[in-house]
Amino acid sequence: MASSSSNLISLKTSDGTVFKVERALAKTMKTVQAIIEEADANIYMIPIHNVFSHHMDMIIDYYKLSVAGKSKEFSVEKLDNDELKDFLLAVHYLNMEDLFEVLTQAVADRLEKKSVGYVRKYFGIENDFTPEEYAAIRKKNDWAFKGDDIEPEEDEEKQEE
Amino acid sequence: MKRQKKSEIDRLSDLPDHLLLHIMQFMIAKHCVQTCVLSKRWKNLWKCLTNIKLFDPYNGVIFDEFVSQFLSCRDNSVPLHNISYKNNVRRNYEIPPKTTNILVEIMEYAASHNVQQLEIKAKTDHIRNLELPPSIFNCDSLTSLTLFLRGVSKSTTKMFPKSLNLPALKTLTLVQFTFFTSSDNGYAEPFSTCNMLNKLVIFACKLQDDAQGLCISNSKLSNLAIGTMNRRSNIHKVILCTPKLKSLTIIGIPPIFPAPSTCSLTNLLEELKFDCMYGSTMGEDILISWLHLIAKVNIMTLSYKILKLMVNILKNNSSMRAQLPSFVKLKSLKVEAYPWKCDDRIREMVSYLLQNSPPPATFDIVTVVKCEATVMKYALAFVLSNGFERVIFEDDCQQVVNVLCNDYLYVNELDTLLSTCSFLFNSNDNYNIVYVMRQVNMVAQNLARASLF
Repeated sequence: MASSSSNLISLKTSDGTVFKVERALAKTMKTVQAIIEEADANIYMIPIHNVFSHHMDMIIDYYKLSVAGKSKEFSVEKLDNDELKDFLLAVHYLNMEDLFEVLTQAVADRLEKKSVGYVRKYFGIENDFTPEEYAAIRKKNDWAFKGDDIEPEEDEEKQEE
Repeated sequence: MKRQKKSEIDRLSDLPDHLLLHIMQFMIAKHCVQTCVLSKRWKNLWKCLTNIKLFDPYNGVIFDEFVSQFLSCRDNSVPLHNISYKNNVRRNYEIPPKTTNILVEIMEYAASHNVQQLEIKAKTDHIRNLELPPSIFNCDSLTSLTLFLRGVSKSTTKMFPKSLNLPALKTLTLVQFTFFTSSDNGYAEPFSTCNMLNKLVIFACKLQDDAQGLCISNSKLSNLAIGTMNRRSNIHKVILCTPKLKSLTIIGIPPIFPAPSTCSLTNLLEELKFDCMYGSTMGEDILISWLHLIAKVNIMTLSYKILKLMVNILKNNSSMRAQLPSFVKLKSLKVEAYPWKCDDRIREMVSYLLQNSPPPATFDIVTVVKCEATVMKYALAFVLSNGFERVIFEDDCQQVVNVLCNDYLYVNELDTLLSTCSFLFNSNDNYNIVYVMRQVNMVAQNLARASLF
């Protein structure tokens, strides 16, 4: 029913919104592209799990910027860590290479040069080391900490209580 | 007593291991190892990294100890794709690293772990006779190799092996090496066995004393950049057997060898770039040969300096002027100029050069507004050619400052511009660079404005 010569593809996000996107954009999503190629010409609507409408908005923004040669202007600074992580997972699911690299770089940038305690708090990683285990691993890999000022995060955690 | 903070659910660790590793690959190795203390899951994750950035801008001395430990603790069953080592030790009072050389250790580790891309940029003044391990030159998996081993003076070079066995190599960048002749004809032909070679950069290299010249014979080579820092280089002749060559760049001083003679027609050569920022002479015969090569290309980029040089030589030599070809094939011409140079003057010189030729379809003058790194390049050229010893550069372009200070943020391999800046900047320990906010950089702004009048 949908003509294959149409250059718009319908994508339905997890929250039920339908986006009509250009074929060229759908091509950057390898997951979607695989579905199109496997199905017959009469593909009507493609559901994309794990992807929400706010993700699609950002994906479309990025696509428009990269087509205009301005992909460097794309920024995820306004996203908090949960949002960035969810977005990264969505893009990973869709298998979009360029945008994926941009997002992993962004996450790496947020982690870089931060102290251990800071990174844990920031991303909510639970410390499952006993104090002895922590001391042991810290001592074993001491060669990687030389020259940096890493605060002992034991004290930090205790102070929170 | 363990806290149970339900509101703080582990976010980052929801991601699967390979994604975490992918993120870590954008961080320098030291920070990657430091993730070992985050939690049990992270304890050994760093050992599975396949792309490794060995940079440490802050700690030159203990850095090499770190590298050695890193390599020995890494999980050997995990394949290795990419190692990049940059050591910018610049202070004279630092104790040089241990003599059993970390560079050799890295190269041997890389070769024995089937690395695909290897990049080493290091100062090697303190190493007496650096013997590069043969294993790295006999590696089936290597697709990209960069060896930038800076010696204390511009004429110290390392010996490049006579034969290479790198069948998968596509990109090769070499700085400060000496090539030896192995064939009977007296030419150095170091890369002929690299059948897949696509891009080659040779900078500040020399030939053995009695060599006739350099011969580059690679059927797939499409991009070549060659150049030197000073006229003491003894590469006086270059022969190209490169039927697929599309782009040829001269870097450093104006060429000291005539345009390469070719043993097969280079019909495909499209682009010629003269990225020459200093040096003020060029042999007349040499110039004529290059002018004839220019007549064969579609795209040309010239630095202001070499444009001026060419025009001056032509003006002073009427018989050369008579031989000035017509550049009918030239479709696009770009001139890279000092920001304070007058556009009209440039156009005048270009018209002189193209006096026998139709105007090209596109003509651009690239200035500081479009290219901040070019400014740094010209600043460096100015400083070097005037022999200033102690200089502080102030720059409001963060990226340029980062490259020259830290180097490790610079990831774009194809940008010879920044690379040249870095090389020149680091050639003198007394050059320092300071980042200033654009608003604060009033001196530069005022100068720039003044120059408009």
